[in-house]
Amino acid sequence: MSVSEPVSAPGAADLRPTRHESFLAFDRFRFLKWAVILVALAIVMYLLVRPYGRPYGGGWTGYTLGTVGALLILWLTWFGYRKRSYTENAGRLAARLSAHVYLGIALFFVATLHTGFHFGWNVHTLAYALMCIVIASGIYGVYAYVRYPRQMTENRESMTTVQMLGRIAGIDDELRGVAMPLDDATVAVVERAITDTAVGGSAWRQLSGRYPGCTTAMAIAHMEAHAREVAPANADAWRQTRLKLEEKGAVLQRIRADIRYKALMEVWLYLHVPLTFALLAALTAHIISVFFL
Amino acid sequence: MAADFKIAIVGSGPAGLSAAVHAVKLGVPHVLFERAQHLNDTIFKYQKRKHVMATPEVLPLRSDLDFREESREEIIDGWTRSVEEAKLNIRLGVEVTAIKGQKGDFALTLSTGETVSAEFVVLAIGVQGNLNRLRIPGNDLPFVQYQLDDPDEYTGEEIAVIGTGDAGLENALALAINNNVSIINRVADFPRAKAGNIALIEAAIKSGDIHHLANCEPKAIEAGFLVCDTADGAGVRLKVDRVIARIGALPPRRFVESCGVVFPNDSPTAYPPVSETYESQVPGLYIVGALAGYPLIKHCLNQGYEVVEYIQGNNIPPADEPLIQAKLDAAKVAMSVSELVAAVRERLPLFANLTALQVREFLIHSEIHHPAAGEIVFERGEFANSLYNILDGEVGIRVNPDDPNEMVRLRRSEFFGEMALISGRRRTSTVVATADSLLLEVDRNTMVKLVRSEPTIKAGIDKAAVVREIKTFLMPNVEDHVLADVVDSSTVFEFKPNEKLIEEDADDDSVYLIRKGSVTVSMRVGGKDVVLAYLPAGNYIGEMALVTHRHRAATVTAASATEAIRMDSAAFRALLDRDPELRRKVEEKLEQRMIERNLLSRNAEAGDLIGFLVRQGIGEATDVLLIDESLCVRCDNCEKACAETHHGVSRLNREAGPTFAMLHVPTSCRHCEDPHCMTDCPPDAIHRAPNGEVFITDQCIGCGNCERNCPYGVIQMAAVPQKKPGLLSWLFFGRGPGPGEDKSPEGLAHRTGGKHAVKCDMCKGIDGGPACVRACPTGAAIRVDPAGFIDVMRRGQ
Amino acid sequence: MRRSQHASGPRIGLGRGTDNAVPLADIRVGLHIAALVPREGGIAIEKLGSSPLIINGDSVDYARLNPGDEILLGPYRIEILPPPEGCDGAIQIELVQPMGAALERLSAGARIGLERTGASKRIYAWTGFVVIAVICLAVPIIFYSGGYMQPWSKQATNPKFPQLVGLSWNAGTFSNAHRFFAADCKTCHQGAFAAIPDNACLSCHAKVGNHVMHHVKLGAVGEELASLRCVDCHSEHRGIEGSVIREAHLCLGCHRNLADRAPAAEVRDIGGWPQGHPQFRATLVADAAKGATMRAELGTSPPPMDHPGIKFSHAAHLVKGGFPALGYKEMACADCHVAEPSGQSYLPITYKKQCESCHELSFDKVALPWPDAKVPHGDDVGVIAAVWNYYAGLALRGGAAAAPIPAAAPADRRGAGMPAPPAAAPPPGDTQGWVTAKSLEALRIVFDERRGCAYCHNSTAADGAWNTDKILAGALPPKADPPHVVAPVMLRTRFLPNARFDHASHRGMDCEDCHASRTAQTSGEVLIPGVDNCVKCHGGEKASLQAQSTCITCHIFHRSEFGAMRMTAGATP
Repeated sequence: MSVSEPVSAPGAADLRPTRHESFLAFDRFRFLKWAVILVALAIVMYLLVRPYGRPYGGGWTGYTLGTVGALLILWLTWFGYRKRSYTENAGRLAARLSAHVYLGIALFFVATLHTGFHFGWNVHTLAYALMCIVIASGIYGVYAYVRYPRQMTENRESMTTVQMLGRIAGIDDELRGVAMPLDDATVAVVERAITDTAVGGSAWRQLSGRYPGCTTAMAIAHMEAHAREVAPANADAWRQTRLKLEEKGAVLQRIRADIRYKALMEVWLYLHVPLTFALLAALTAHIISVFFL
Repeated sequence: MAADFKIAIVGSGPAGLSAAVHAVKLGVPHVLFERAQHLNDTIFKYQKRKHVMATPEVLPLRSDLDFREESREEIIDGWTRSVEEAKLNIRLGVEVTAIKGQKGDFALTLSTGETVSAEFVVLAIGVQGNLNRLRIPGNDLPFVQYQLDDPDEYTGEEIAVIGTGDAGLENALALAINNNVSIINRVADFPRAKAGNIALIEAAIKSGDIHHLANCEPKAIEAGFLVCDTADGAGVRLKVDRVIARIGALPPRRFVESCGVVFPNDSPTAYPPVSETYESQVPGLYIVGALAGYPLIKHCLNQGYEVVEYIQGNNIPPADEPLIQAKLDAAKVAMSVSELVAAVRERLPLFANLTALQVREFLIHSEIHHPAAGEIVFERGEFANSLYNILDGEVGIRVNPDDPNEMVRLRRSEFFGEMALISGRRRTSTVVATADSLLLEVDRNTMVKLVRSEPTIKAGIDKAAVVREIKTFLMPNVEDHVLADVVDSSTVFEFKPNEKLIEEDADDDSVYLIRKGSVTVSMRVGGKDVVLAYLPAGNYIGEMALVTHRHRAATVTAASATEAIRMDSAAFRALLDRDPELRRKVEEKLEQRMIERNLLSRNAEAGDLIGFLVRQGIGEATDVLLIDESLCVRCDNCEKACAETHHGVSRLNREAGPTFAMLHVPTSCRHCEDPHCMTDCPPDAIHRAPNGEVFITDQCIGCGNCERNCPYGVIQMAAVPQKKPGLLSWLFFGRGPGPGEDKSPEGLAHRTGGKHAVKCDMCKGIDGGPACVRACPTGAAIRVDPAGFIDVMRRGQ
Repeated sequence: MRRSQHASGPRIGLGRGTDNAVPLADIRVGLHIAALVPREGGIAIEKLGSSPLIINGDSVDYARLNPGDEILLGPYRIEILPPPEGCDGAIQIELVQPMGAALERLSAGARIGLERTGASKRIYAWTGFVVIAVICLAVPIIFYSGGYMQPWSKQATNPKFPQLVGLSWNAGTFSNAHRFFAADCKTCHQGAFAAIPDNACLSCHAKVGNHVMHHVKLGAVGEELASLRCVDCHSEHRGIEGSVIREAHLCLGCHRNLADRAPAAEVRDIGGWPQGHPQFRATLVADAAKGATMRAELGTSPPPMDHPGIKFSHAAHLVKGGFPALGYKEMACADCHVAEPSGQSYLPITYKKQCESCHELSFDKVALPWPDAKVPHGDDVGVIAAVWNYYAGLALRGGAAAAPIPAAAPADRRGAGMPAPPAAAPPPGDTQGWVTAKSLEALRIVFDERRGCAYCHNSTAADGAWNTDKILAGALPPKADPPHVVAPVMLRTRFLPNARFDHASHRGMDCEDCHASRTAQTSGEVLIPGVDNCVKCHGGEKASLQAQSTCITCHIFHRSEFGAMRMTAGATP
């Protein structure tokens, strides 16, 4: 190497990645490969080693698939803990997530084969159904993680939430000034637009990004409607107020979109995590019920 | 005739007080003069509740005054008590205006008019002794003051602050909380203040908290008013309740010289030279403490003690003797400290002009190595922490990483390791002892201080460095004499960030070798500056014009504080003619650069990316956190991880910081080559680990200098967090704050203890690398070093 | 921030508008909200606009003001001070509700992030976990232990809770046979974490047949067999089709290499079906006289021969064109082979049912005064006596006189070694002579190989040939215990006793599809088809283009003829 290239650490063989690599593509899709192999093995086993009678989750195949599935579920659930245990050196979390995603999807196949396509109104199918929902929500999560970050960044234009709030606050203060001379009715709506500005709020608002009865929008509408009745003396104040409101509307739209993206990237966890625990219960019931009776 | 006293001590700062108390202990007849109305003015003038530290930690305290790291008030109380017990002979409010005579019979003239005689005089008046006062009418009105003890004393007042040094700005900022503060500035900006303070004051001015009167000259002070001239000549008449003037303090040089002491040079920072026993050229006249160049309280206390011992004729060893001896013993060197000191002064030309005391001073911060032949001194790629001096033996520098036997040999009295010390980057070559040697390793911070204070040292290092740098980066295997002309004709230039080394279309053709910092090469394409390349230290530039005999093809701008060696074109060309092999190399490089440039000039995006990254300080970074926002899901797991691994305080702010082309540079330490935070750390608590991590030790006293000095705002003051329960009990039952969750005010409210500066330490000591990167679930966060930047920048193409 | 100002005029307006004498710069107050007016040496306030004007607590439109009064006006508090010299009144206005700093208010009001909506993953998780753990785990266990658990039944119009509980654990549909006691899980599931014990089954199925005869010593294999548990081959909750596991693995597990592991079983190794199944071994008659049988592999060449001891040709009977006596109607298998009621197999072939209608045993057709001049079938010892008795009876009725025997006897009917006939016809009146002569004449016909026994049967002679004269020599008049003359016959009805072939289920087919009867000339030819014939239609257990067949399609595991599978009901393996 030429000396004019920067010297890097001696034995730089630590686990520090040197370039950005999505968790999906981690280590040239290592875990995707694992998952494919796992599924392939499961299918081969299912086809080759048939139990007596129709496959029903028992027998050599059934118990193997079942055990693998159960262990997978436990291991996948442990991700929640692993994710937050920062001190111990357990490699990169990205690797773990990559595995979590791909093996999670593999789990679906393993478990489906374990059922032997027997479904009924019982705890066994309940466990399976829960598992499917958890996996489905996880897949949505991956989708969200792939789709929204970029949009979020584009929407933000490297403004932080606090900065956006600050901007709004600034506009509010300015509004106070410029709206002063306007007629009482207008001032009333402007005042409302200032005092109750809805940012975030109910889950639905955050997810939809729709804020029915947004005071700012109403204020703008009001000014729209009464544009004719402006006293010429106030024309300038009117125009400025209007502009400020428009500006505030724009910033609001941006921060709300930001909140929406964030929510869209979070919401699935409210299905994923609780159902995982429900699944653990169902799984326990399933295993016990199978061996209890 | 017998003198009135044996020892007359002038100044009751730590040094003087310590001396006096010890004199009492030894029963020496003495007198202590203090100009102020109270003892120990120095510490008395510290801002209220200032936390005073006891550095250097390693140095044992030998004084009858107790001293440990504690608050201003505690120290004052403690000393007052011991002083009362000691029954000193003190003359408060008395200034010594002149000292005449010689050893055994000094005559001290006092402000009271009387004259006192003493056999020995100990000058302990420090440098803070005489604060500059305004030289305008009304400068002594009651509401005019020259220091500020407690900003909280004043509320709701109209205060004018005169003086735009750090002291002035800090006062202004502190006062602005409860008062209307105007700051009077002779000029428009703040040339004499630290970057940190400037940032704060400018923010305050912008937000209107502080009223800034630029180009404004105080003319007079009248009851309730400050009258100033302004540039436009209109002048202002400012209504004030209080005027605070912080216009600096200089060593009372005139007075000292009047005592017959001669200063070595005219620099205002110069100190009167003293012997190992603190005796000045004037026999019998001793100088201790800050005036002798020892600003640290502990030194002063020790010297006060020692000077009395010396005067008494007991030649006790200095306090640091055992420390240095320990180092010698540790290295198994059969040498006494004084021998070592002597050896350093004789054998190392670099330190020839240092006094024995100064040598001892830096020996405390140095290591002594005694490597056997064949032992590796340091490895290529380690981070530079020190400069090595060869007291004895021989070392070889492995100039060719691929061939360990190709070595440049250095012998006794030479030094090495200065290149990395200058560039702040990793060591460029491995150094191995080729004979049993005795090496003196001087710690980086100490070295930096020395270089700053001693121009001779800087010159010495530069001279050697230039040769080695040219050799290492350009032509490893060339005899020195071949290089002679180039070296002689070359000069080192320093460039501030964004300063231009080379202007496009200029017709100079000298070649620059970047030895510190980094530069960007840009070109005007369609009226827009397109960045073509980013070149870190170790690269040479400007060869294109030289080889092609054309005007400059591109502009080269310093991306950070940069030092470059400019080599005279004629000499360089001559060199090329002599050395076809070198010419080939240079031309190859040129070729390759031409291609890259053409590529890039067509791809403005990539150029913009480089420009962006450079603006974000990558130019001076050795390791920076980069987030790919197309992958980042804003889970803030990086922050949580950081907080969890660092006492609950995240050292990075994921959201803050700019983004360009989906590349986000969060607010997190860049571990600069020449860390801004290190520049002004009173307890010297900020260090750089061999792997480059810049970290803060527990010695931090929470002064906040580093926080202010960091241009990237990555240092924060935080207190110790509360105890947290296990993770599982949070996961299942939500007990206690969750991972990284106690950033909230409530969380902070639970915190205890004084605040300390905290910053990213790259998870030094946690194996597995930086927690932020490990904890990123999507692979969005990576940390890259200069080798990696190039990589990331190519991403644009 | 205190500012004092002096205002004068007929009315002093208060409000946001800058045209007010006392402007209140806060957009929460109206443009003009109130005005101060002078009133006999003092001042009064009157309300303008809509926003309320509250003086000392009560809302008014107009009021006179006295020092000490307090007015609340939007965010302002106005206090009436004693008027200084030359003024009608003095008021002090202060902003009591300053507008909160916008940013604080915003950040306080903003609820960003789903966790701020009160949704808690933790709580949801616990709820889900507990609910399911209780309903699907705790409750069933309690119910089971208490014996309340009932399986789900579709008929139940409004299902009871116990049934729902049962449903939650029910692994699958019951087999039809077991439904009647499925109402109580404990019938089979007798303990927690224990597989179904055999005695749970044996309590009903005590008589289930054994697989091998008890006396056969199989050694290790025998122990394996003994260690088998019912649930190894029978598993419940597999749907209504039943709980028998039909897979070949079960049998092949032992039978794949039984020949050398358990020679005593005298069975050959089975590799599976259709591949690996050896050729059938038919059980044939070795020696009808001795009643000995033999097992002969089919499809060998020369083909195995049966020895039923009878002369019979399927081909001759199934001849084209049929027989005149039958009106030229061709014979069919069913004319002789009559299925037993179950239709599985066929009734045994007997002379009475199958042969007599065509092959009656009559003699002396010449002049029979009454019809039934027949010899009994199956009683060869009684034949001679029967004929003698007939002619004796005829003689008694004067038959001898009526039909004297012509003198000349056909010479050609004299064979070698035959006793010389009476040189001369018996003189008239010699009745015994007549009877003897007549009987001899008839018996010659009875033993005749064209019309008599020899037509179908062998004689008892070593070579089975018929030597009439030898038989008749000194046979008349009849004596006590005469010798047997017809060799015994032995016909098998099942040729493959270890398999179970159901003709009924093959009824749709033609007999000749399997049995090559038209070409069978002799009774020795075996018409039982070989395995190659079965595999034409019968594939393996997973065959898709052939009839799926497993071991138990043809072979029975529990052979009741071998006694009980387990010595006593309740004996656990």
